[in-house]
Amino acid sequence: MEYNGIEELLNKYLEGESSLEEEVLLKEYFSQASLPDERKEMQQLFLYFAFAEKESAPAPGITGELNRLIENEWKTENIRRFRKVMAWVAGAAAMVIISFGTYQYINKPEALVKDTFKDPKLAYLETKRVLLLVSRSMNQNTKKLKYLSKVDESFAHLQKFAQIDKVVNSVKNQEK
Amino acid sequence: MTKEEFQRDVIPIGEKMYRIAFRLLGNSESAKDVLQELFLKLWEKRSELHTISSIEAFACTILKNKCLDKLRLRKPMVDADILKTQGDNPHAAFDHSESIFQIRKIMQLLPERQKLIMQMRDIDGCTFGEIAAVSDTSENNVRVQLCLARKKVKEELLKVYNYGIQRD
Repeated sequence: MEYNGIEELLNKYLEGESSLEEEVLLKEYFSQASLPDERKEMQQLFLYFAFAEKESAPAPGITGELNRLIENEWKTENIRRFRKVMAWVAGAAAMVIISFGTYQYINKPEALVKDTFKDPKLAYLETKRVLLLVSRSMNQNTKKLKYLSKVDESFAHLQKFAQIDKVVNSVKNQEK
Repeated sequence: MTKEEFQRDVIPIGEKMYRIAFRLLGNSESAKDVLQELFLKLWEKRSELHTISSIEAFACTILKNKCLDKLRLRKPMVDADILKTQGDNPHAAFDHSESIFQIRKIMQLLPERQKLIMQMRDIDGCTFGEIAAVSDTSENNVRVQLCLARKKVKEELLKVYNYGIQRD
């Protein structure tokens, strides 16, 4: 460092007119071991600054910590935003289902209540026709059920086994 | 401002902000707490940050308010705390250099605001804008106060130094 410039720089410093870069130069200058006597007291001051700077320095990992903090904050925000979107989607889906259901509900009873025949006589005849159709097909199917009586007959034959039982029992009694 | 921009442009001011918080609160625990609060606040306001001319000065204003809130909360402790950092600093116990002790004493002679301005500039390397934001004054006034503080310290230092020479 140029020694001649120092006096000027020091004056600027004392007037509060030096820039941060110039103050760094001063700090570097005063960190030298051998200096003229008239600079010794100002050297003490600048050595104190360098010492005190270490006191207020943060722990080395401070930037990493802040980055992690922001990273976490960003993640939580994204989760929150995703949940919000999902809530909207669910809401919209619910709306669609409800309106579809309501639409169905409103329209269905009308279809049930609506008359298919305007003339009651015609309606009666039509009903009778349908009922006859039902009873006819029912009769057709009951014919097949007559085979069930055969099962009854078979059971009658089984009654004979009961008589065998009686005979066996009487024989047992006589033995006693 | 995206997360990447925030990490590139805003996070790096953290170290200086920590120093200022430490300067105002006097201990590293509180300084770290306030620093985290500050960055959460800045993150919250990230959409406005590009419209601000100096993020550092903006951050300084928030930081100062947060520190004042913290100091107000621990009112009963504050005096003891300040005394501790000013006079009987734990680091001072390990400091065998008499001159550092002397300068610390001289700095205590300065009015509170001048002392803060000089510490922020000469120890922490803050800009005038940042100091103005923290000490609630204009940049011009910061320069004036800084000039007064530096001259006063030099004057006191010369007294001590000359006394030392006379004594020898």
